[in-house]
Amino acid sequence: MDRRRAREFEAFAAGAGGRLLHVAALLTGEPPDAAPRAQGLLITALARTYADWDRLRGEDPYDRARQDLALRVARTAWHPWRRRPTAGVLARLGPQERVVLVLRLYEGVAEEQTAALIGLPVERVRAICARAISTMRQQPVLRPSAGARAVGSPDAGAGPGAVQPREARS
Amino acid sequence: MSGRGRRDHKAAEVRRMLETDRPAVPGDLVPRATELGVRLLHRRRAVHRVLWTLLFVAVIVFTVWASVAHPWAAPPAETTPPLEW
Repeated sequence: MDRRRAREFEAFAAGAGGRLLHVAALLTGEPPDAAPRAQGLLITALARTYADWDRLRGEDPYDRARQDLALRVARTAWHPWRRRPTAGVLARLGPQERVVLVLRLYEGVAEEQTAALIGLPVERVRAICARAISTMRQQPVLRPSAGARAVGSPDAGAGPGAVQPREARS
Repeated sequence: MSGRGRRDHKAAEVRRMLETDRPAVPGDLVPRATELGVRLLHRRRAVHRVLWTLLFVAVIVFTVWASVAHPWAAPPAETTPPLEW
């Protein structure tokens, strides 16, 4: 029983490890060749997948591991003290934007499933995705305030000019 | 319609940025994950075992107490009606 599980799990991890590590590095905003945090997240996600192996009941272990990664990165959106990544492709986005962008564009997860996974309304996911895409299309611009931006109230108390530059033309 | 097309185009542009080379997986990553997974599974099983044991003990204790104390029987009257003329 244990041996069968270990064999199946190792076959899965050997096959999916590369892609999952890429996803993890995109999620943490680290460059692919130096992604210690992504590796740590992936080890934990795979370990939990292993522990749940007998209870997956037909669920794809890849989905299980990916969900674990995405949720843990999404939760760091509430940790403003976490140092912002500097070198990865998505380093200039916030954690929540990275999660939505990676799930929607790189992993091709449907809007509804993405919304259900991170516990936000579908419209919110759509808005975050559009904002992340427009940020990514601007050429490398330093946006030091992006991570500290309050998520809830972009227009509370701020003049129209306050949010204007980010919305750009879409 | 063209708005949607443009949106798809922008999304495709960003998707290409994400499709960089895959990082190499360190050789010890999967063994470490397996080892941690085994530990997690053992810990979870131990917790389950303890909880079931506690439940079992609680049922036994309750049964013994109930069979001795008969909590369903009405208690004998502790007061007598006042005896007055």
